[in-house]
Amino acid sequence: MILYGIILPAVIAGVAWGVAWRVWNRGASPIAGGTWAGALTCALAVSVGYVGLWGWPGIPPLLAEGWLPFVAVAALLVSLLESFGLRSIRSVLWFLLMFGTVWVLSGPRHSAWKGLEIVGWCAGLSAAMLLICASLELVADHRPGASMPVCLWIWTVGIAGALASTGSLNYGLLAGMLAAIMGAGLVAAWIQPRISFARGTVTALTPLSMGLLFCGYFYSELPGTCALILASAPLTTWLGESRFVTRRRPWLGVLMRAALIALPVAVALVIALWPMLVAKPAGPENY
Amino acid sequence: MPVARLFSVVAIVSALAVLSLGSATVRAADTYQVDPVHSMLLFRIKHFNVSNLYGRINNPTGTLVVDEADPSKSSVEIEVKPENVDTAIEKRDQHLKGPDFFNAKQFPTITFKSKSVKKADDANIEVAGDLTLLGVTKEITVKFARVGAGKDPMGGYRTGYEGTFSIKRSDYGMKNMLENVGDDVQLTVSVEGSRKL
Repeated sequence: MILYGIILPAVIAGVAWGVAWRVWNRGASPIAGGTWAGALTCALAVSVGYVGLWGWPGIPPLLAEGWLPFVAVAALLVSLLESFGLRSIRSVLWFLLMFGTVWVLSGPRHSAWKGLEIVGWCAGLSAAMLLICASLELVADHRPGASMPVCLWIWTVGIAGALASTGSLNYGLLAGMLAAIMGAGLVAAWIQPRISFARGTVTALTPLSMGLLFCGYFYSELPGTCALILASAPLTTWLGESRFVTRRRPWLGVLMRAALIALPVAVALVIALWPMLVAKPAGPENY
Repeated sequence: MPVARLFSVVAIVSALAVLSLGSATVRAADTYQVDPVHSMLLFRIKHFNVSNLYGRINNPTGTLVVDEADPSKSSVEIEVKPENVDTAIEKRDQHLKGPDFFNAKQFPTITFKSKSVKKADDANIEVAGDLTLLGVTKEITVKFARVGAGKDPMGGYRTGYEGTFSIKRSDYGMKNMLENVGDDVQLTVSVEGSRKL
């Protein structure tokens, strides 16, 4: 479980980022040249981790979350299209990716949602995902270095903790994979601060993380407030762009940005863990 | 005239008697609705490979069509909702209903639909059919024993069957915690069906 859920995705991500960096560093514009590497990393790590843990999900997958490896591959395609000349229609590609993600993940809910309700949910949630993606993208684009991977790592660790503690080890492990990928990304960024997490990484990580929150809320017991706080936590990266933070020393800036996203993540975790921490659970722990 | 009328009446009564006798001998199969209150699906699974843990899924629904003269014309359709899983520990039930096990929100029902029924011996019938769990359908064969049948105090008629069979949960995609919670699951279906007289 730990091997496929954490170690293997982290190793794959580390190797993929290392190799990709060597490739894109040869180009004239190192930052713009190989941003797809982050999406490649996510696609490889999530697919290998998923198949290692639960086997081939099938086409179409039986489980909603079985679509996540396919979402990662679709995000890689979008990133490649962006990198190789289709940046002008980036927003359209992103929206299609987000809408498609919500659509396939919400498959088991379609019979419960009537008519326009399906379109409403899918369009609304994909618009929210697009907002998070665009917001992370803007920050990541002009802030290479450790800040972004630290924030994304804290975010994904929080999602993993919340999902694992609210009824699903599977969802927790899937989010754990994302945290492992971002952990490797953090190490990669530490070694090579010019690595960018814009476009590729953000394009893949947003639908995967938000998709897991969707699954946690609709198919497990993740409380709505917890899902909402975790979904909007990346917006705090904007506060990290205020003069109060940017005029600090780089290492202090990284810490402050980390603290800014850690705050809502901690609140969400407390909400998720509340029944275990305070309220007396019904029945023994060692069931 | 009276004699002729008497003959007519006798003829009509005789014809009706023959018809009713005939209908009794070629009586159609009886259809019973599964009584959720007196039926259940019981499961047995190994814990840490040292003991058996029992649980049940309450309130099954469905239909039993019983043709005693020709069992091949009988059929069984049973549906249970994993939302009704009951192991006497609420936290465990919550976990079992979740995505790690029964995934009740994505797969709200477990169904069994018979494809063929035959007499196994004097006391049992053998039912082959499709079991659908977590969206995976596999054919299984279950030997059902008739527990009893008779009138109930509410003016209806009831029949009861019980059958036990085993599956591997991993065959249906339920692969979590196989090292701690066994792969082989023994299932006992106990159903009571009722019909109006």
